[in-house]
Amino acid sequence: MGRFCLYRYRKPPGRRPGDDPNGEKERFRKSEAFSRPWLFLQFRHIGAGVTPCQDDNTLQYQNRRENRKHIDTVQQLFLHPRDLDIDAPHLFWTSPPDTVLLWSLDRLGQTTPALVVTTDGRPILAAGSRRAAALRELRGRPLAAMAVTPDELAENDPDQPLGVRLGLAYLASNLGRTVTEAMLVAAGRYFTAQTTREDFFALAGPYVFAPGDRLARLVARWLDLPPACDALLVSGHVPLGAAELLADCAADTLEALLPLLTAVRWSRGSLGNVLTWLTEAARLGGERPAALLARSDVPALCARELSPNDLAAGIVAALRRLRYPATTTLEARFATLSRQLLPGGSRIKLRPSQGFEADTVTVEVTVRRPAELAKAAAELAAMAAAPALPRLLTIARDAEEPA
Amino acid sequence: MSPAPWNITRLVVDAPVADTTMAARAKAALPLAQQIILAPDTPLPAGPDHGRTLHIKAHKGRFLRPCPATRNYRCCGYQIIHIGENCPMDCSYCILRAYFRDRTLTAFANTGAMFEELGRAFGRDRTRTFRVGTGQFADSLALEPITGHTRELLGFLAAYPNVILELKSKTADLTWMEADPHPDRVLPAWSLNAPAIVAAEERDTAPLEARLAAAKTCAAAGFRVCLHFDPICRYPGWETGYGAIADMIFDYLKPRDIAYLSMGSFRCLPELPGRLLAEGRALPAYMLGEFTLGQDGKKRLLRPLRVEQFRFLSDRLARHGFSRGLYFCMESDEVWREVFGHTTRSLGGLSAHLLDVACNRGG
Repeated sequence: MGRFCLYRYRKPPGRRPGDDPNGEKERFRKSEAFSRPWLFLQFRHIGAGVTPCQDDNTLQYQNRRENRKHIDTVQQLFLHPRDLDIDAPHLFWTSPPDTVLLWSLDRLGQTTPALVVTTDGRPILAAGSRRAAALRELRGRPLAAMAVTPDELAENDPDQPLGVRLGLAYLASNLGRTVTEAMLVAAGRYFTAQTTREDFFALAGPYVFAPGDRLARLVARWLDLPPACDALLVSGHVPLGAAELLADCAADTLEALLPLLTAVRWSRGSLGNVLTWLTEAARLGGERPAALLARSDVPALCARELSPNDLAAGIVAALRRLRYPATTTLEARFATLSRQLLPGGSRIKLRPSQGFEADTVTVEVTVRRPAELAKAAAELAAMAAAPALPRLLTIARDAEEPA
Repeated sequence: MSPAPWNITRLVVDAPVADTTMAARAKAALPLAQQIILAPDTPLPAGPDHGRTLHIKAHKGRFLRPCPATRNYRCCGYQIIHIGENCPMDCSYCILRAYFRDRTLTAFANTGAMFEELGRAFGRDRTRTFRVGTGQFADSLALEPITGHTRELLGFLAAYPNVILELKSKTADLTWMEADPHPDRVLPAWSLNAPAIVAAEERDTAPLEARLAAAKTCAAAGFRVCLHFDPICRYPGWETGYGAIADMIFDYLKPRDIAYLSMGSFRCLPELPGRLLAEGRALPAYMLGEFTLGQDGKKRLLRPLRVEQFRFLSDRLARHGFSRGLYFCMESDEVWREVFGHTTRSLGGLSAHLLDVACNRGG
């Protein structure tokens, strides 16, 4: 493993941005730095000196002597930020600079150098893309960078292609950063485009997965999905935990599901239920899940302007109806008859027997005052005389054929 | 060289029963099997790499016990003579998968103790008729060519005319007839199912034609037979399948040849589908039905769907002139009422009714 793994996350000193004497207190209270102050001012020890750091983490050398020797050989460059490609694929976790970083660079200057790799052509930015992007916005300021040769980059993995070493360097520069599920998959996509999946887990795995981490297995399954699905993770519509469920779907099923997946936010459990119902109903009907889904109520539901909660409930109910037509028909009929028997606002609740096995109905009354009980008693008496009651009691008998 | 029956490659005999007739018969019937005499308190060795084990041992508990029914559904009152455990056939729906941890076949060789207990029970009041069977925790006849268990039992029961023994099987074995029992005292019985279910879900069982041919042989010998549609499975095309087997019965038998015929919808412990998947088998389509948790804690098909199948089958059987001995295995009064228009109460109780149809050839 290269020298980058020598950095280790250390809880940063708790200097608060609100201590700033120049009247910036209010501005910081509203900023991300106020809630995460250690992102604002951090320090990294380089050699004997102390240098402010604008990286996302506080990093500490594990072996200061070894690194001082290395730093003595590192070339320092000042580059125009527009001369660097800040959207290169190996910068797979890059994001636009936030106001805090812009403010910090504006007020304090660049406190931590970026890392570039010198080549015959343009230097390649290996770490520091947000700083470079921020300096582009601020204009007129060069990007301070440490420059290494390709051979010096991830020198313990010299046989790996430059793309892999750039990716490893980028991961190392981001050690300690909070890594989301989408970021794990983004890293996986990058590395598996450069090398084998096995190499990804062997080389990059230690940077992002704990030993025996189930996330690694889930990422591996997610990588079986088309890259277009990654947007579902980024947007938070589908959790990584659903990787196996989706990866087990046939391509046409997955394609048919995409509108549903993007329509509402899914938990692994609810998505698991929906997929099970869909595939089982399709198997029972002898058709493809995609075809069954297309002729279900679901596409129409997605086209309606429902609230996310109503849409999610509607989709789940529609797919359950597909899988359990007889059960859901009985449930719906029971609900309809119950409404006929009970006035609105009644404190009486009616429940069918378990699984409609018996010709019985459970009547439940909740009261807080004697008057409420008297009212419920009157409602019960009316219910006993209602013509709908015998139908409710025998609801599972002579049931109509399920649709 | 003929293959080992039921692929039994290891015969383990517990030392205390090593000198029994059954052990000797098993050794003779399984000459190629590895034979082990197991000393007392020695655990059963792990199953062989290939094939399966037949374990001949003594049963230490009660031999005669009631069917493990639940009180929420109507039971036929069948009493079990416990001759062994597990089955060499492999049916995806089999409840024995849930009852037993492995596939070791067990036969109880301490028949002396069994006959002593049965003699006490059956001899106490000889005016009381018992309807008993051996097909609850094992197939009644699957191991008969190896153990001779049923022949031994029939020999013992010859002294008890108040006992009617039902022999329930999916084989076509008729070696038990060598014991020459009185035809009124034995009810040979076969499980039947739709041809598609037999083909796909019942491994190593006798073909339907062979079962019905065996039943016909019994009928010709003066025995009345029992038939069991259990489990009735709901799968695409079930009407055609169950219609075909219902018709097929009467190609071999006359309605008066059948003492009684049961119908039971597929039900299982909730963990059964998981066990099948763990064995690497795909879930059969019939396990994807609309199930609910019954009052006995087992999954069973939603009531209207069960009723639909029961009505279909009972109508088909009635068309062939069979209805008197038709009953449900473990169903509720609601279902009895819906399908037959009455409950077991009007029959004087199911157990008494079946005893009546078993004893009286009323057709």
